[in-house]
Amino acid sequence: MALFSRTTTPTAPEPTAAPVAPGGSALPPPPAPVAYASPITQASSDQVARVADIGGALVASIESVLAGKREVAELAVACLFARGHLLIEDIPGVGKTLLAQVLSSAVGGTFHRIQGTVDLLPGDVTGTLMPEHDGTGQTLQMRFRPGPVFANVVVFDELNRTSPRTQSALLEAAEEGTVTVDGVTHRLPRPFFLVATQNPIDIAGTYRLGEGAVDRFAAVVSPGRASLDDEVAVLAGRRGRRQLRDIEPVVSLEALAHLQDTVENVAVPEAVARYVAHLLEATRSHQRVRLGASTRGGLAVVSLARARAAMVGRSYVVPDDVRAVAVAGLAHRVQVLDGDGSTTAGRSVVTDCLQRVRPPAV
Amino acid sequence: MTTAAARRPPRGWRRPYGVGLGAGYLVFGWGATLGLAVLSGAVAVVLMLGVGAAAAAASLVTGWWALRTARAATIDTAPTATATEPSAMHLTVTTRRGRPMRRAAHVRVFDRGESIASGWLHRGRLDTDAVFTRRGEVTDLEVVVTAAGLPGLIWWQRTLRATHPALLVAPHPAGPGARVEVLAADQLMVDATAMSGAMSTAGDVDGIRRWREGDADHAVHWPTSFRTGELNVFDHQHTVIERWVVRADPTAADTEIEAGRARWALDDGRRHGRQMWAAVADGEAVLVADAAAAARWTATCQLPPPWPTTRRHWGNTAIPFWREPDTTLSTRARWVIALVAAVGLLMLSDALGHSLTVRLAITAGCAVGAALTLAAAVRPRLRLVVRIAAVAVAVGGVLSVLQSLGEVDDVLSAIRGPMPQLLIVLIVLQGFECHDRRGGRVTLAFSAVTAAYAAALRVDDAVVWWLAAFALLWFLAAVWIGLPARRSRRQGRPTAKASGRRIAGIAAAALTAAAAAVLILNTVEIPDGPADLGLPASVETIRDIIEPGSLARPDGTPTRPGATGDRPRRGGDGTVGVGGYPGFDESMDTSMRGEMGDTVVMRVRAPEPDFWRGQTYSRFDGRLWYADPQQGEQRSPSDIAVGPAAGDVPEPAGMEVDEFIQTYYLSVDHPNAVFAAYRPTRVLIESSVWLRPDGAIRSDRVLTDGTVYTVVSARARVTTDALRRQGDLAALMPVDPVGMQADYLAVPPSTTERTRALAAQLAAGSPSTYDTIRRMEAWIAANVQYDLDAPVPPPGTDAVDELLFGSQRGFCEQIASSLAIMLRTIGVPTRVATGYVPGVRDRITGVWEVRASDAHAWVEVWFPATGWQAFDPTAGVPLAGEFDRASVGAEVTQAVVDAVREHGPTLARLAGMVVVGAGLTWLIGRQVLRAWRRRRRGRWGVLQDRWLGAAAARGLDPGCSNPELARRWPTAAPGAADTAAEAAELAELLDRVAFDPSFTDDDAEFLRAAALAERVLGRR
Repeated sequence: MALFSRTTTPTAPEPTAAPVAPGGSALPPPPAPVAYASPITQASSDQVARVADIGGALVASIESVLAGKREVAELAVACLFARGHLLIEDIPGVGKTLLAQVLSSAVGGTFHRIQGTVDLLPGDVTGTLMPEHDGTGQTLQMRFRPGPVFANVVVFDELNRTSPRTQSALLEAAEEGTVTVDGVTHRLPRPFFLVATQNPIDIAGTYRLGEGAVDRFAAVVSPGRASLDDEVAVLAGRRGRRQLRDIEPVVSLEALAHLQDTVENVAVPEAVARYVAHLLEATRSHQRVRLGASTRGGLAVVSLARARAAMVGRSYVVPDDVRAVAVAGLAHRVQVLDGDGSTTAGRSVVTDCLQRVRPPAV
Repeated sequence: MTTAAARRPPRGWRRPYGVGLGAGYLVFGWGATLGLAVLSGAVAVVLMLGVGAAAAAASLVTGWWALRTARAATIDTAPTATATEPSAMHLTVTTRRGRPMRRAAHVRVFDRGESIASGWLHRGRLDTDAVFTRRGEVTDLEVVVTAAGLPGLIWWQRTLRATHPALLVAPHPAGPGARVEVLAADQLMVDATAMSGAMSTAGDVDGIRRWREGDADHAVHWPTSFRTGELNVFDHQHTVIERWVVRADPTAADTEIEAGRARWALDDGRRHGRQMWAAVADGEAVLVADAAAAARWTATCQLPPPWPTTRRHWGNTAIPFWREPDTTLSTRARWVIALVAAVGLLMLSDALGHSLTVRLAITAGCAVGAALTLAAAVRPRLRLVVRIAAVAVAVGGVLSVLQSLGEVDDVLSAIRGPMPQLLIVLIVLQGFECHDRRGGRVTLAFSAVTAAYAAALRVDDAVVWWLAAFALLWFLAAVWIGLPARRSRRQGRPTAKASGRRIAGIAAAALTAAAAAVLILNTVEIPDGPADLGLPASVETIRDIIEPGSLARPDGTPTRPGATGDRPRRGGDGTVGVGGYPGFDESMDTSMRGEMGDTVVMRVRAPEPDFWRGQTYSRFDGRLWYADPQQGEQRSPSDIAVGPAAGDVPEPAGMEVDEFIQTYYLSVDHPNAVFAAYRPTRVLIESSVWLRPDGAIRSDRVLTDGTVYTVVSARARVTTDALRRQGDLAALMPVDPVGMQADYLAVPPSTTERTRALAAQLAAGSPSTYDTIRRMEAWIAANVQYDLDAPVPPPGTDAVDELLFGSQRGFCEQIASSLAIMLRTIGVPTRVATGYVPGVRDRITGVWEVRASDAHAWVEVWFPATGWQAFDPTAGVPLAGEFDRASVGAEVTQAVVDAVREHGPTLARLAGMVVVGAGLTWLIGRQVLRAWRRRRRGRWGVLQDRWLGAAAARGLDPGCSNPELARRWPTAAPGAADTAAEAAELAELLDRVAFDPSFTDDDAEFLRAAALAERVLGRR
């Protein structure tokens, strides 16, 4: 038994207890708790202006690398600000991973990439207990080796190719911001931003993400192919991976946490909340839908709308924000009768619902 | 989503689609009204016919016009669909300028001749589910836009073509049955590249999944099955255990089903982990990777069409031509139909003199019918209540009809008795069944018949107002019947601009229809009366007279010749009205006129004016005229032929004879004289009559108020020339006249020499008697003053001498006597007739309104070739040959002209007041409305509404958010860049007002917004 006596990392979020990343470099300490104003206090215009500035800088960073994907870049940044996770659904080779890399560089955080395969196990993602000699060389101690999920920005490629077990382990980590191995909870670094990708074309041989699983992603985007000019820019080397090394961090991790708090304090008027509720109701009563969007979906839409509002320098949400993010926030949450596992049908349904429900006004 | 706009699509001809359901009833109603017009000869009924024809024409034209803007159809669907299953489809019909078509129209979408979707366009858009009936690649869809004219009787359609590049319709999975070949990998000759991906992972176990039907036993993964309590199996994702080739059979009886079977087989095999290939018969197989590929392959595989493709054409359509697209009746249409029915029935009820209770019952019946049918449309449980109510109405109605049956003894009383009652009961009952467009049109048709019935029965002036109200409501109902039920407010409210344009359109159509009606009616002559069918005729109350055959007063007491000598000279026997006129007596005192009063004594429905003659006098004693004492022969009712009387010429040589039908509606008690235009040939009256030798007709009873009788006269087309050509009548007379001629040439002994001398002087040198008469009339007109208060001639003097040379003042009886006697002195046979002048024509009902003061006496001169001819020194005589019968349209126009001429200043003042009043109301109403809106919506709310209204007017979807609208704001106008920026600013401001919790309203901000709105939206 002594052979397997365990040392555990403390659960308290002290900076000193930060686990060691597989690469060997120490993870940045999680930020100290921020004393932010109570949620009912509206964010001040200065705070919001800062979100807008940094959001703009982040979007510009992404654009400098990824050609012609402004909308996707904005949604990704909004998702980051809203403390949500992003699901990118597209064919391979359109810059999904690059997008996540730019983001991590621009926020000055760590970046890990996991490739989903059928034999990937939960431990490969979260990390496992490894026997390790202690200093005396006498006994073996079980020591937690953090998995690739311990990073500020994690890209999980082809999420639907890995088994549901691994998917759920990852998503639990994403949702809770913690990893529990052998009864001990390890906290993930803050901020934590998960970008998962799935390929909608090659559905065969995949495990469809369950309803619960997709519900954990705040938004789904589908960047699509670049236009001809943008593609030329990439091929000629004006855009792409080469520009990645020129990306300077535009915001520190601590500041990012502050920004996320600011976004949380963006006011959502009653009428807009009601509008979102009507939208959810419309997806539920739509004739092509088997299962409409959940309340969590509504929450995701609201926080994305908050982020968007802050990014244009507004301290309150207007229906236009909701309409701008609704498709991204809800498309993966509606189960369409004749859907084939991709979110294309969901997009059309949400677009339809947006046309049916009248936005509030004065 | 795939969007396909037609690339310069063919415009498609507008062609008639069909008549609205129930329009047949309207045709029937028109026919019935035509029958009523023939029966009654009422101009009002002819008017209704004209308006009905114009409405049909307007329906034809406006439907054609409504479709003029439909130019292009855009269809938006998912890229694949499954046959027989609904899939969402968005259809937009746009105008030439690319804006959505605004007119209410129904569309049907056809795929290869099969209807796949239909519905009403709302703002040019239709969101619906399409059901494709057949598999295949859909490259173009036929969009048939159908719209009714304003009165929704006739539908027009226009076919647009929407091309669609990539819509695949897969067959519905039809269950097992397709031929499936199981091949080992090496047996199948395939393209290596297609196989490479599958081959590489063949045999790998990818994971565990739940058991599905068809899984092999050896695939069960027992450990997980035990752990979870459910059967789990190894999931061989890329395991090619077997390769299955589905071979679709092109020789199958129904290739549609065969394709469906192939799809089912492909899906089923793939679900079970087989690698699926597909081929037509023994052709080359292709790999089908997933469900979408299976759908694509089965949609496009080359199988012969299941049956010969039929093209739709007129007569070969699955929808009968009389079918209209949607039969739902909107609430407002249902209510206005009930109102039309009620007005029509009340009109009839008024004509029949029903009590207030009956009228209330009719109104309540119509209202309850409308309310119940509307409620039952929503709650089917109420249908039982509807039935019970209908049965109750039916029982009540039948009882009332049965009650009135007791009073019926012949057809004539049935016309006024149970028939209208039956009609009323039927229409009220129909109200309980009227829940669709067809029912609505049935009600409209029958209501039109009731209104026509009433217009035929009634001769009073109120008819015109009843008809105007009825026509207005009827038109409104016909318009609303052709429109779809209004959509809920949430789906978009109509902008004020659009509804204003719509109202203007309706008004223009109504005016055009009215003009068309007048034009149509201009070709329709005023109808003859109902004589062919012998209707209507009735004697209201029977009051027998004391001495049969002789002339009686309205109370039945006989009049005695010569008995008036000692009576007061003024006021007759003291009774006002008919009784006061001395001309309806066995003898006529020329010194008396009587007080006539101004009451309407009768109405005569006749197409042309004539003198309504009652009595003739042949013997004159210097003061009194005496009628021929012979009673003549008695004839029994009701269709009495009248032969020529003394002096009549039945068939004048070389002259046409017209049949002239008059129906007399007496509205006060009359003596038993039967009035008739010269020369009566038939009398239709419900009493026996005496045909007197002098041509007068007398009834055997007093003709009381409410009596109706019809007289057919033969009128020779006498012209001035025809009279003049007969030359000097005195020369034709025998020197020593006998018999009839002696009677009509007799001159009283009191006739003075100067009278004879004057007559001779006026006759000297005259080319014909006609000219002599004209000269005499001219002399009288020049020398005698018409005066109702002329002094009474002293006793013993000759009345004629006194008038011509004494007082030189007198009234028609005296003037007529003078002319008659002067003519007799030169040897021309004459007599004096009394009766009524035509009176005033009510041009809408086509009835001559005769008042007591229209009682008149005139001269009849006997012409050998043409018979008796009326001459009147004081009034113009309508000559049959010189009178062109007007058309109904001209009558209506004339009525309008007369009204304007008579009441011109009043009308102008009234119109001015109405315009000023309407203007003031509009101004005040607008202010009040604005104030109310501001109160309800706040000043920012008003601004927001203006913003949305302006956006809708620019063709934008008001369902967008403010910034979206600003981004799409049309930028075609000059200086548009500014506008776009300002629109964005305004949108942001509006959103800030609505949603920023820290916003505080402030005047400066609002003024800025108002200034922006003025620049962006334009002045209001």
